[in-house]
Amino acid sequence: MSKNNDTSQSIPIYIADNLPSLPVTNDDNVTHSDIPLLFDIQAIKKLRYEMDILGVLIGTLPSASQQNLFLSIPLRLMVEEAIWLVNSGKCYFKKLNYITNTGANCDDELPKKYMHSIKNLQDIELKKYMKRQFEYKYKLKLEKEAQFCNTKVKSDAMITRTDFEKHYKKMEPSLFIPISNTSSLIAHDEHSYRKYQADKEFSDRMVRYLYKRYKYDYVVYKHLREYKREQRCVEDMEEGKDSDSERFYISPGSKFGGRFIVYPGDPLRYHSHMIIQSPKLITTDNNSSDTTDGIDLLELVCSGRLGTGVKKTCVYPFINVTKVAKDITTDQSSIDNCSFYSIEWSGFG
Amino acid sequence: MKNDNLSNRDDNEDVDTEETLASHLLYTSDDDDEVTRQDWTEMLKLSQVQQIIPKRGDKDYEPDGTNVQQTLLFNARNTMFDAISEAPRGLIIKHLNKAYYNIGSHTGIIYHAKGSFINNIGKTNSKGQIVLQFYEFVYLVERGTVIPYLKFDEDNEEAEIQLSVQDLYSFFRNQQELDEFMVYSHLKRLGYILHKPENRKTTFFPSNLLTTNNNLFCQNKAFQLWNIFKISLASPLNLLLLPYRSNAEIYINLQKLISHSKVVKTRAELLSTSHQQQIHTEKAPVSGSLNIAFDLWKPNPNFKKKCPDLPDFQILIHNKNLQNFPTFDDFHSIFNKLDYKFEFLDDIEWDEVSYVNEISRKQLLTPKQQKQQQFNIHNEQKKNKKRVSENVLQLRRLKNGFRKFILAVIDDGLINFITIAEADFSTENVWYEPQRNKVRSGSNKSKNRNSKQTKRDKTKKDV
Repeated sequence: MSKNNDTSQSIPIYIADNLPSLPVTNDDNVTHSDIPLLFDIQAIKKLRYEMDILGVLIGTLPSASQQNLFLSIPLRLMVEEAIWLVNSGKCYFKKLNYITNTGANCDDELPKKYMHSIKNLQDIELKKYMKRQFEYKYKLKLEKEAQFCNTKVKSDAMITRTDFEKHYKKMEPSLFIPISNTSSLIAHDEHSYRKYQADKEFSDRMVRYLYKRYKYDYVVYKHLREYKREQRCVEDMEEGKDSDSERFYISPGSKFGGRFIVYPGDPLRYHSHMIIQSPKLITTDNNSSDTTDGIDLLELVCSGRLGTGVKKTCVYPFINVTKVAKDITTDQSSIDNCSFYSIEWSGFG
Repeated sequence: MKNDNLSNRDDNEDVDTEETLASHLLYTSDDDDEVTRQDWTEMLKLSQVQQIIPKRGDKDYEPDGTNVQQTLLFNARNTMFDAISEAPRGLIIKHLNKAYYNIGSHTGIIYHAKGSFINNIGKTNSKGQIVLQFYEFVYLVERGTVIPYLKFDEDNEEAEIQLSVQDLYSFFRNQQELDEFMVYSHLKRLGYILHKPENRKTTFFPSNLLTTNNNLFCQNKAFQLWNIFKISLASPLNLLLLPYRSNAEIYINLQKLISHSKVVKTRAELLSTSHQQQIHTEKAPVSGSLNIAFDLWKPNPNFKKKCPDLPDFQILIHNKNLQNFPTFDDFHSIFNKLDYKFEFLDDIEWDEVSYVNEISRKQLLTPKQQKQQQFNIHNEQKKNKKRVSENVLQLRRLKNGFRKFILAVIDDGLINFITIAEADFSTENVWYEPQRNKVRSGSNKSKNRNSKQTKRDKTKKDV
């Protein structure tokens, strides 16, 4: 389904499937997870720099593990965000729970040969990493000693084998063992053709499944995301330059009582401007069984007041249910299936 | 950070003056709105040397297309990613803690644990190993306290592979578990102690007290009958027999006419409602959608893992995008399930009223611990010695309510904590207070206060 068929260039978004069914969901048949995750720093960077996608970091930052303002990998995406990314061919879904789902539910059934080969690879890598650490630390130590004795150390001096054997054991307790973010189990079998086919099939299935569950929120998200804001500053206008167009940055909005929050630029630098409320559904087809959502006056007053308080505009999306596609394959971005109205407290009285 | 950014700019003078002007405008812009810009610069420094957490920085209204803004943003993004990538998770070999994941039991096991984290995390089994619940396991790995391994061959002891963070996330059995983990790690980072309520032995409701408490239950019924009787007294006939002589009497009798659901306020009431609840739950079990996810204790160095005291809070988790908001009935059943330090009960020694296997916890404590507890209680009493007027206490009751729990609402990675409490407006005498006149007579006091303030102001001016 994804427009870009070459998965090697797009970014994998990990999502779990075939989970034991949950008692919490409204739909009893649901067995998939709705939590798209990313584990690779480079992929997260690419999303933020090139696609204006934020996500929320949810892991503990080990250097400051007693606070919640600055967090680390993994990155959790909004479902609507993930659907949009996959549907536009920039990313694809990949199965997260590969070990527990390959039939290896207890230790005996794990494919031992495969695991042994991974263990060997891990050992070799760790040894290399340790050696590099040792060399770096040993050089630092030599430099310190030289400073103390007022002599110079040659920058390109090699560490001989005898030096290594002599000092490595002493230094070993202070060497660092890292925990990697990305899995070596899954990266190992990346390139085979069968794997590629399986990924593509899985990705398509997940998109269709998620679209069914989140289609109204997704329609709103898609409109906001694909809306291009013309950005012209005074200097450019004077010089007659072409205007840049910029996209909105969108993040989850329950902090301000809405579905989304919209930023004019990266939230690292800019305040948000809009609170997007959950979509109201309307029908134009009299024969359909869907009903039109009413507007609660108190709700309007509430969001108007809140908006004024936090200096943001409250926006109500209205979705024409009859014009929303039932399946994502037939989904085309049309302007007439969603309209936005903003609420503002007028300054009278 | 701002100065650094500016000094890194080109040498071109024109550009510089333009930018300094623009930056001046930027920094004086109105940004009281929402102070959520994250200044990762300080965080990067922190990753090298442990310091205090940085304050949040300033933000702009919108992109204006100037180079200054773009460089500021460029630097902000770079420092953010550097801070993340330069703070690897892991341990030095000297402090190595290997934790093994067990797919079958969905737990982590540490054979030889080092470090102070074991004081309030995990359980010790008969072999002296620490067994970690899965959320505890992932939290410790993310923090860099243990290194995760998976054994894949039971015959060969060395057959183990190191797991990554991604592998661990793949082991979450459902997304509810992942949401629970997010709340767990959020509160853990703040220093709270968390455990699942299922395995807790300490309770406020020991079964022996509940079953023998029929007397209390009967008293309660009798009390209700008395209320009905009192209401019938407020008939027109009553007016002839007992005419009202003051406004106060009218108000007091009016209050009896208002019907209301009863809010639990005392220990006896708590015990009796729990008894009723037990009978109800046996008949109709509550749907499993909403359950207490975690017991929460404030940070406490004397925390006992085996036999903890009653938790300070209880927390529920609700995923906003996945579930419908709990109904009134859900809330009602949760209120009856609560079992924590009901903070509205005054003058209670918690060790005395919390029970482990139907024995008061106070009897289980060693003399040394008892002394420590008494010392703590004494200190608390000293703190609470301040007398508060009845008016203030009433306002507090109305505002804080009685039984309460915390609802953690999850929205795609963001967590909002909401306290939900049972309030009681019906029995509080808000419109008539005989003492109010006395208090009002103290309006001289406020005058005195004002005069004191003016005096202070004067002295300030003099200075």
